[in-house]
Amino acid sequence: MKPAENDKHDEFLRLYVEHEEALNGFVRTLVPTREDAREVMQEVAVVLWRKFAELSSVEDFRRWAFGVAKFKALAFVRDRMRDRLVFDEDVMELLAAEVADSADAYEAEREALDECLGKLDGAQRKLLEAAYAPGVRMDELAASLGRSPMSFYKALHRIRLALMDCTQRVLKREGIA
Amino acid sequence: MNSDHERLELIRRYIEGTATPEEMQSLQDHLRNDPTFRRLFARYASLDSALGDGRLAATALIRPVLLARPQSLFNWLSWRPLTAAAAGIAFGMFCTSVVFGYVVQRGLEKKMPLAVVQPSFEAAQIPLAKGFPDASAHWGGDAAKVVEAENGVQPVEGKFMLRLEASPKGSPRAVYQVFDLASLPSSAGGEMREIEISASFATADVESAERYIIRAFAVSEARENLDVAWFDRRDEAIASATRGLDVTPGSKGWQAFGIRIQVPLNARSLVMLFGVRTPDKAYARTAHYLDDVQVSLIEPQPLPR
Repeated sequence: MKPAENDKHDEFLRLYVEHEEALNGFVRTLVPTREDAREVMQEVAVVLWRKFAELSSVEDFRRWAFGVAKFKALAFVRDRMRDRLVFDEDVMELLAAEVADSADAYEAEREALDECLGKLDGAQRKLLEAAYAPGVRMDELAASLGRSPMSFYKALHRIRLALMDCTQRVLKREGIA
Repeated sequence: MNSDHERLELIRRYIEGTATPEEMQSLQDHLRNDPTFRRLFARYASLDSALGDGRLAATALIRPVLLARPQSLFNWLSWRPLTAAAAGIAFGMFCTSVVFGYVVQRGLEKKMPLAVVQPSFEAAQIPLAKGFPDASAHWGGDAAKVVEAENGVQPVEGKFMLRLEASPKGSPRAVYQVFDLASLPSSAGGEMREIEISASFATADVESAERYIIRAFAVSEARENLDVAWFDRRDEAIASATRGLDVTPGSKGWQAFGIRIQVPLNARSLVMLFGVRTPDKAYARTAHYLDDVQVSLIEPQPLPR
């Protein structure tokens, strides 16, 4: 790449990395599974890079990237409407507006999550690590732990709810929530 | 109107992919009509995303380690872009992709290389079976060819590498090798054996984006009993592991990464898949390269006193 292209590429990477987690969360809200979100995100990255030159101001990167991500998520869901349980477009629009309008709040909650993860007990922590390991199959994991899938899912659900309560407490303590 | 508990259950079942069409309709009705519930749903999905992006591995670290030799990074890393960036850990080999690594010290261990057949494709005439590798060929899969340096891509080491040929329809491309676990040394004891598989991938067009994939399946059947029909039964594998590496346009050079799989003692074969998927059909005809496949048995070592 030429020097100017290198600079452009570096700037893109900086912005992409800065906002990648927010984009992941945004897309995950709109599509059924984490794997779907990964697929959409890969296409989002391609489009963002291709159209990066059209971005008028780096200050607008997040809003612009959310717009691209919404478009890609809608296209993804349209393709799979026949064989999957997916949200209707009006619901996706409402959810996209919710996350985009409150992006700072969601970012603060993700930052608080690290503290809350540190408060989990050993068993909860192990369960989460196993459930969110790459490529894991929940039914196999549940069986290997001697639990029914339903009991396993519910245990995970309780931990997620506890983490959501905890992040709200952290944000209140810091005067954010 | 559902109770709060029931509404939370609707979220859980959707996120886990177990919601029925009726539950899906009910969930959507609530999302349309209740902004507070909408926020609760978005927070739950956002948490699910955050937990799935490697944050757990990052917070579990004992100490971050910046390694001087990036080739060995994939032994321990999991993907967590923002934490890694915040910690100032960026690894040279990935500096033009969006992939950053986070290193977790897991204690001392010894890696014993296993004898994979033609890991660097240094014999130009090695047999490549179409489809699943059979007795006559150790490597098999989609169209592939052993080539010398071309398209600006040099082999990782030596003179040759494997080119995964372009796919006319842009579908994923992959090659396989089956490793005979009976050949493992008898000293490899314990209920489980940990095996690490790594490889290097490169593209002929740096403007393309791709996902490189390594998958491993531990199966109870002997190597000679496995054929192309096995792939349809891959869900019956005793254990499996998958890792993808997403590479953004502009990423130059070889992208190396690896996975680890816990292999039960009753597994007789290890099926390894190395693949690439190009989401943008405009780049479906781009050639990709595979080289430097390494398979190692991981043996924990006692910590020094």
